Amino acid sequence: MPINSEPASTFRAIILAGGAILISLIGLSFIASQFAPDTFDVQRPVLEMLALYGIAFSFYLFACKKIWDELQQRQTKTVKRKTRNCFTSIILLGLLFRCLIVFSPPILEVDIYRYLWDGYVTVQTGDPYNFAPLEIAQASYPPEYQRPFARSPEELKTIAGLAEKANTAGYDPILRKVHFAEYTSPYPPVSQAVFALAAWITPQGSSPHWHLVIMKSLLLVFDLLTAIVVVLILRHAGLPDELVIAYWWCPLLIKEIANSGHLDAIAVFFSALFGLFAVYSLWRKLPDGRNVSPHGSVGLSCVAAFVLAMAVGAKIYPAVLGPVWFFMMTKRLKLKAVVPLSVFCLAVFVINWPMLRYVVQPNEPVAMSIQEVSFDATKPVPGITAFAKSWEMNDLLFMLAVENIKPPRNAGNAEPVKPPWFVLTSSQLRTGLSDWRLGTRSERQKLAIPGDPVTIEFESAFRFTRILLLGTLSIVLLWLSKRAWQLDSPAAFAQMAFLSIAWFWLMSPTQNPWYWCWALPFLPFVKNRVWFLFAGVAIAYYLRFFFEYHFHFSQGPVAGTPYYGTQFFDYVVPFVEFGPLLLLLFYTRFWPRRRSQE
Amino acid sequence: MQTNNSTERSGPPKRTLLQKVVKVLLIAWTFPNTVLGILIGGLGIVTGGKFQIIGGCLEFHGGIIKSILSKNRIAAMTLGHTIIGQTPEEMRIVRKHEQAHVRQYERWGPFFIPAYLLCSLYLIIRGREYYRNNPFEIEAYEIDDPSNYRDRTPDDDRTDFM
Repeated sequence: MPINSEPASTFRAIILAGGAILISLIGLSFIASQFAPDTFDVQRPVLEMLALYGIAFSFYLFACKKIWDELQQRQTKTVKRKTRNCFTSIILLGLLFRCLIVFSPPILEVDIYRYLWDGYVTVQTGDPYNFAPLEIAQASYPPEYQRPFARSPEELKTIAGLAEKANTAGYDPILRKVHFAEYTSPYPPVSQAVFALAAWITPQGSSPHWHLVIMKSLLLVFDLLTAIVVVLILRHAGLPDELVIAYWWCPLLIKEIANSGHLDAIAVFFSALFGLFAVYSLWRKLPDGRNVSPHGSVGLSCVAAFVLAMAVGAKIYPAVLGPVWFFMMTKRLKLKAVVPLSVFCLAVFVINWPMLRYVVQPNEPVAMSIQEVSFDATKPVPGITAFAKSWEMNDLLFMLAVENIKPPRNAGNAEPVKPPWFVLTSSQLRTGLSDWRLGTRSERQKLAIPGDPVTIEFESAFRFTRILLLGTLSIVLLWLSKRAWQLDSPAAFAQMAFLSIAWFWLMSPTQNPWYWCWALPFLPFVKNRVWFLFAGVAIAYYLRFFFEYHFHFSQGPVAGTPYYGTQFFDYVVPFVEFGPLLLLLFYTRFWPRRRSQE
Repeated sequence: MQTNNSTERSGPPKRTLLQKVVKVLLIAWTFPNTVLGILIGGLGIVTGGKFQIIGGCLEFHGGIIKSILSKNRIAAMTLGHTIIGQTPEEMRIVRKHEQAHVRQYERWGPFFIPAYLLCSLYLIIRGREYYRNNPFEIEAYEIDDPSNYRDRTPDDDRTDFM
């Protein structure tokens, strides 16, 4: 962009970029119907979807760059230019993007059906954590075809009643699409309240399409509120409103919330609101209306603590924002910081208790018999437990660690399975590590420890890697807290909040693209522009479906590698997806230092 | 919502304190729409129309309302806790259906009208029938289809609401 460009050119660029994103989203809406659950897998245009997303993302980057350049010019020329039109256009076009795509069926996503079902169950029974959807779905099956769960006669009566009501209310098509139906709901109570609200306001007898639209519209309200909160944080930090474009126009957010209807919009809103109250409690605006001065308010900190607890009650991840906030609070409030901290801990416990009580209660097997066949059955496993135990998807750093820790896979006397290409540790070392954690297989056999030895070893390696990476994350969070302490400004606080979430995501075993939306409200505050690119590459997760549909096991390994279909995605794609950006982050982190040395 | 078919008239069911509080909150939540209804209804009254309170709703009919609705071939219309209709007879036929819309207003509050219109707009864009396919109408027609009750007796009017 030429240095002497006028604000009108920025406005034109915004309109142009907005128009291009709009066209891409229209394209996405059109092809979305080809992803409907009743369509053939191989006919689903995954690559076309990614191409349209790529176009939208390129124009998003272009628009962000234009805005940043314009603001830089404003700073250097010290001329206050009128950019109100730009801001209004950003907001209105962002709204238009969402309105366009909200009616389209979710592309390669089914999570929303679980939200719809949970909402219905909450309205009917007041507790979405008691029964697994499978229990309701199989209520009409003959007993020999049912997966048995340990249930009392009263509970079975409730299940039968719920199944009948669901059938009458037209919820059967939704119930049939619920993913991992054998687990109870993994979503915390604040999100459940939103699901219940959606179920309550949706007219009875509505088709699944309208159920989806209403749920997504409700999530879009949170999305819009988040944008408003981001603007308020920007104002408190003395930054221009237009930077909200980094959040509001992000195609990842538009795809994952307006199209796929991910519940993350709720937690994202509460996280951003927490950020707002945190900066309000730590810095006071000076009478000039531009600068801030440090200050500490116990009352506002308590509000921030409660809002953060609500965020944790919507999804667990916002807990990673705690350390940076706690350090800054301690700097201001000294010992009084215990008050907001206690509010936070108490509120988290109370808000999440409806879900936690099922996690902490023992789920012992109960002897049952169906048609003279005896067996042991348990209640359904809580979704949150199952998720924490072994869920892994689209990850790089976690996968690198866990695969280098997992013992060789050789069940019984079978030939050991070749480890993935990036495993550098010897099989002896990995076996030694496993034996150190669990004891050798023969020792475990002597102790008659139940369960499949390979699964036990895998889960142990998974837990160990989690602890290892959580330890690493703790160090990162401490370092970020120290930086926030030193820089002591609202913008730096928001930046450290972003980095806390970003590194948590990067070290997580599940790097689903919609999880990246967690970091987006704080994206306008980051200094390193490489972070903007993550929303572009994270979408590569959907390539997994492409490999699943088009590279069947019978078609042999993919691209000369020893890996088949989704295995190729799991072991190769994340390196291409995140590897270059991680290197770029590393390079840009140390580049200025090297330049100054020169 | 229940229809009382008995010829004996009994009083409305007693509400608990919580139910009363909820009712007040629902009335407040949908009040912006009700105000709109009262304004239109008021216009009807000054032009010779009448009003009555039935089932917790203000019902306006006659006057200018009648001519506007009949010109547009609309039997009645709900706005918050007000129902505006052409005649008392028409009101009796459509009351239960319109009361279903009142329940919808109570859930959606000020967002009901935009949501209703957006649904219809979407249906028009998709080339579908914008009235009967609207999910709000589907629910209301499932509760009560006025065309089935042209022979409804005055005793069917009374409806009990939470």
